[in-house]
Amino acid sequence: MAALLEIDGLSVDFAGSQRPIHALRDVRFSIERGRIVGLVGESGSGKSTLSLAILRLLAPSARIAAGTIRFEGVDLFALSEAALRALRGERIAMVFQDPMSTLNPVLSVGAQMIDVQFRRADLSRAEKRARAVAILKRVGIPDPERRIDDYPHQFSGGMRQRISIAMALMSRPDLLIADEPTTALDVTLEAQILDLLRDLRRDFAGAILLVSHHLGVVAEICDEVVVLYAGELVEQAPVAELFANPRHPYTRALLDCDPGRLAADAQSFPTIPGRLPDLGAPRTACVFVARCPLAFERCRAEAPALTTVGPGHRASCHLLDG
Amino acid sequence: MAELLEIERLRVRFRAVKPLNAWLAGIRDPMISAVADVSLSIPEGGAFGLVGESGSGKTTLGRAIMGLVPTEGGEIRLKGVPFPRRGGPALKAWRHQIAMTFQDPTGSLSPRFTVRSLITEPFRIHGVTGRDLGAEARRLVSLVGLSPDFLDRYAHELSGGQARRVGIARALALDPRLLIADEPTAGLDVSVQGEVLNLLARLRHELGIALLLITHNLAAVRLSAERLGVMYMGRLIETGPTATVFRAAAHPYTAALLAAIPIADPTRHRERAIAGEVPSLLNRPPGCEFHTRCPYVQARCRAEAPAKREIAPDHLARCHFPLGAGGSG
Repeated sequence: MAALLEIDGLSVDFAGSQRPIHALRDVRFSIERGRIVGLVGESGSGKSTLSLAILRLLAPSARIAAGTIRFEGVDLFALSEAALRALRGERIAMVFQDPMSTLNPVLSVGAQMIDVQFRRADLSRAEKRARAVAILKRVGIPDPERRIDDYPHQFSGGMRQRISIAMALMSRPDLLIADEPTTALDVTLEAQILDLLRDLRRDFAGAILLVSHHLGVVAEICDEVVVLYAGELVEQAPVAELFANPRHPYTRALLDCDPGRLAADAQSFPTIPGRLPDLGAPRTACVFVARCPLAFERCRAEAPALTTVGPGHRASCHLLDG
Repeated sequence: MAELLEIERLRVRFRAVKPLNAWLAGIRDPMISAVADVSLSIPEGGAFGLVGESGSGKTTLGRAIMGLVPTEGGEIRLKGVPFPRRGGPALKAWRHQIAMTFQDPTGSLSPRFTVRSLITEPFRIHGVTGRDLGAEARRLVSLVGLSPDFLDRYAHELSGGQARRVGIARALALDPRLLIADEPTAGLDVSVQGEVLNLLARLRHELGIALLLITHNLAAVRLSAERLGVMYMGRLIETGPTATVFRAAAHPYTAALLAAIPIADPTRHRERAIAGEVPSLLNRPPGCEFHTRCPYVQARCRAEAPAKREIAPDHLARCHFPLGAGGSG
């Protein structure tokens, strides 16, 4: 069976002042139905570019330099605007970091939740409202019958994020892209939203692409993890495998930096010295070479290819060649 | 050890609702206590971590110490000297000794100044003369681990971590005795967070300055401050040595905060998050203010506000039934 989403050799460039910036280079992975895939990386890794590319919502300065994204076998880049609109929000929905930017401040939550069902000509307004109430209850909004007529500003940050998740799920999408859905929330609310996403999984048949810089969040709810560094996929593995047996030095460094994994007797915080490489430069070396503690001659001369190192586990590092 | 900063029963109140609106909405008291009855002290060279969620009053407390918001009760003393009730030279002298770095690293740096002007501005504001500002600028950037090339850059040319460093360099210009760092790691990548926290630790060590670290990032406090305080609805609900609080939190809210940190280990499972949200400061629950969310709530908690009680030497909590105390906990 074909995967729900297949990203194949995707490269995205942004127009730079002198030369293009390569935000994504030759990224390939797929998402199976029913899975939660975590997309992890730091600023500049290309994770937001990737999630926007799936919805074809990239800025005009971006250009798909190569590759395809297929959704149930259909090439998303070949679709007409009309066909794409039928997909966006319906079959592929997105939850953003800041719920206030998703919700319209001058419309009540109920009005917005009825509006997003505009394609359902078969339902009356009252039925749409009843569906909205039901899903608000499902995501844990207390007293939804009464609160549905409130405006977004009358809800707390955590409740607003619950509402935007509810809106994204209204159409029962096949793919939910959640871009840093808990980053703007306090820790107890973050934990509540993670509990909610885990609960929702049981009655949600689709797949989730969870974009996060936070390894703790990924460990909590994902089945698989894709690690991006400077626009390249450097490692992909089932979640338990990635945390137990990271094979790329960047993944290892990122795990070490996680404050939640700090040793009890640690004296200082681990860091990753150095900085991202120039994203405009042509790639003639390993993308992580400048910061890699294990780099050797070959890493400076040649970019490593992705190697399969175990079931569902791939990494790109010359050290894996044995 | 000599106390550098002492805060006693500090209160900061804000008008949250206009009087007419308050009357219309049936709100009796339109004022909110953003900081309520907070006492803490920091010794010379010590570090205190102030943690809590949004709206808990930690930033307001930091701003009150700087004299950026008026206080309504209680006292702040620096080396035994009370906060000047009048502005003018006394306030300037106060701010000479305490510096603050603000939450938004880039936003708190003027976009029209170079790094050189930004970090030497305190000398001009405080009328410090007789110093070679060029040399001071070079000293300050190297102190925070940046190369002198940064002196000619503008705020928008800095990454988030670099902007934090510039903010810290500026705060250190006048050799303060206390640095208040408000959310120094917010919005930074995890590898860069560590760099900033390591920098603060190094500066404490090298300069002997004290640190008040305001953060919602509990993990950041663990290595960066010997003592910590947890705020909830403007109150300090638990204070104690950092290691003790992490090992044996006494207040159920502290325990909930610690339990909510996502565990970066897929083989271990976090307990379910505590329910509910922080109540409105306009409508403080009676009794213990945490009782609406506390998993161990009892009748007494709804009726009677708990006083501070000593769990162990230097470990205080405001809870009728502190955890680990046996009985109900």
